[in-house]
Amino acid sequence: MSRAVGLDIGSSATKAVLVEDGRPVRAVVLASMPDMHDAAVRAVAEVGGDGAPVLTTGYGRLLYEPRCGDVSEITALAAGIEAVLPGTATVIDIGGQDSKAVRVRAGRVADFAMNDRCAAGTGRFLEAMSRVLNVPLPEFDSVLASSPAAVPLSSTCTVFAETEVVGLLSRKTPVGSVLAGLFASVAGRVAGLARQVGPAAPIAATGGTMRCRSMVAALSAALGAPLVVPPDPQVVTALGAAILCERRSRA
Amino acid sequence: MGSSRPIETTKRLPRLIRNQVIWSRIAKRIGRPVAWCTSGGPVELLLASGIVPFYPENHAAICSARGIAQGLAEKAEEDRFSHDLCSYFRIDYGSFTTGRTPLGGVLAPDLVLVSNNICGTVQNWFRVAADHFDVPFLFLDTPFSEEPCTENDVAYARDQLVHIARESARIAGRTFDEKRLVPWVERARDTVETWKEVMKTASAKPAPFTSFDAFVHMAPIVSMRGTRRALAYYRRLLAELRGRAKAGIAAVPNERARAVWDNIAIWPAHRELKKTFRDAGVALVADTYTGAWGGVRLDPTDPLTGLARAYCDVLLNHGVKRRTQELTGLVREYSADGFILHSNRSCKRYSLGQYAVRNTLSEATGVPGVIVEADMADPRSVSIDSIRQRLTPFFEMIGAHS
Ligand code: SF4
Repeated sequence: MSRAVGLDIGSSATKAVLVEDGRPVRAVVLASMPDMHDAAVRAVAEVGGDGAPVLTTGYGRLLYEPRCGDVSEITALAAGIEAVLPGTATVIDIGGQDSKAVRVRAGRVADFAMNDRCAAGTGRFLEAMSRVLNVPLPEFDSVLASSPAAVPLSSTCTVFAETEVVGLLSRKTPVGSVLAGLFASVAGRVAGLARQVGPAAPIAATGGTMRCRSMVAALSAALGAPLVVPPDPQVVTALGAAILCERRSRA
Repeated sequence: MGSSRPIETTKRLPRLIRNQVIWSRIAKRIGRPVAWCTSGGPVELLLASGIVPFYPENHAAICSARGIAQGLAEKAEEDRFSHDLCSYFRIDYGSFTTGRTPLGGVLAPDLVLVSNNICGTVQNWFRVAADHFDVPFLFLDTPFSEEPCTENDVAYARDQLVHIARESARIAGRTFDEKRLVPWVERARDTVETWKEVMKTASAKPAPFTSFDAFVHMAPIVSMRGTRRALAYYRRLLAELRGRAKAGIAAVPNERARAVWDNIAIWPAHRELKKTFRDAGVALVADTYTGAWGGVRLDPTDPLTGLARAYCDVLLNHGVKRRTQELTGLVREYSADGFILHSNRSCKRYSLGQYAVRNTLSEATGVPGVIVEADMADPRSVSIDSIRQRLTPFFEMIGAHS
């Protein structure tokens, strides 16, 4: 039996996936902070990957040893999405500190665009807003469900948006409407990014942020196209790394 | 194969440049006028009148490579020049107003010579310098066009060249003599031709020479074009590279993929980037920047018209269409697997339209491209991590990986 681990060391979460004979058997998600290296070591142990080759990816991919190699998130994401949603042509990923759009052809990268310069359009933006609004991330969906229409936000910059949100709240704008406005803002940024690669259907969406249904809905609206979200959107990149790892060790 | 001894001729480069600097200083001391000249300025006219050229753009690049750019740029910003202006300008301004330079003292101009064939920024930059030193400002206006320049453009530029030639000769205490121009133009042409051949050696597989080398070896073609020393240097370099190509000596050991570069080098990250490419096995085989001089054709039988045409026809004096054609040619000629467009915060003329260029170029050549955001000289706008963030997946895409 062949075994391999994909380890995605992200800025906010560290994800590990163990595959055996090409099938995912276990996935683990841990907070990366305060010690990324420690999180990585624990993730590999918890996923049951001791002794198996580990291919790393993500922001912190170079800090884990021993690894059999490392690969960019873009390449890992393409391989991962092909495994969970075969035939996907475009995948959009909103991560903790960047967002990316990848055109995929048979599990390989055909084109990509990424935003790694600006917190707007990333998970960080939503985290920052969660703090300002005093609404924990997991409650976003329920707050939104009970709210009237979105208020449009003019700022895409995280810092300015924060000021704008404080102003709106002080004028008694319902939290849900502000939140809807924030989602629309993030979705608008990410849709712009996706257009750089000319998104072809079927389009998949991944990343921890996609566990939030409202985010998926906002992004789908901004793109004017339906989105498919795999069951465990946060670990797709780690899964891709595991698959590539298994392929490499076989080669 | 695979071995990568450094190119021997490179060892001669520092001395060549040092001698040029020393010679400029001596010339100035014995009363030869010094002209600050833009990289696209008709320097042959100056040389023919015994004027010593100095290149502020080059100087700014040196400041950046030596790690003193930030303080100099900040001086310009303190004097209320916007951070959004070309970093070469800000660095050079900081240098000539404070006297700080890695070249052991500012070489003050007796005149400045500007052509707007590369951008409009230089026009204002050199105006500021001319005012600062209180010296004459000579200007060559070259109409920007999407299409190749017209006979009208050439005639218009030629008229101005006559004026520049007469004025600069007068400043040097001479009268302009077209005959004296001919040998300079001939050598400039020969040097440009030799440089082109040097760059072409990179079409061999594996490439014996990369754009990272060209970025360094281009200094003489910019600042010593027309001199015997420069010509001799490139002939030696060419002979060595041809030998290396034949022997299969690779610039990048285990060359796995080849790429083409658009825009100016990223000086603050030059070394790290060179290493990043090397580690990934990617040879940067051609670029639009060092080739900018490779396109100049000079005609010694009618030097002024030849110069007029050459200076109107530089790459940056044309639009997106021409840049795309140029890149398409390079991707094909050098069998590249992909291309990298450096979106250079400083140089708007060079960076405008790159998203469109990327799509058209990919369609035309069938190879992928990536855009990296940085700046040629201001380290505050350069993040090597962020550049690698994009290069790594791109390298993986074109069949190399680190
Ligand atoms: S870098 Fe660009 S903007 Fe600056 S002087 Fe050169 S051409 Fe002009």
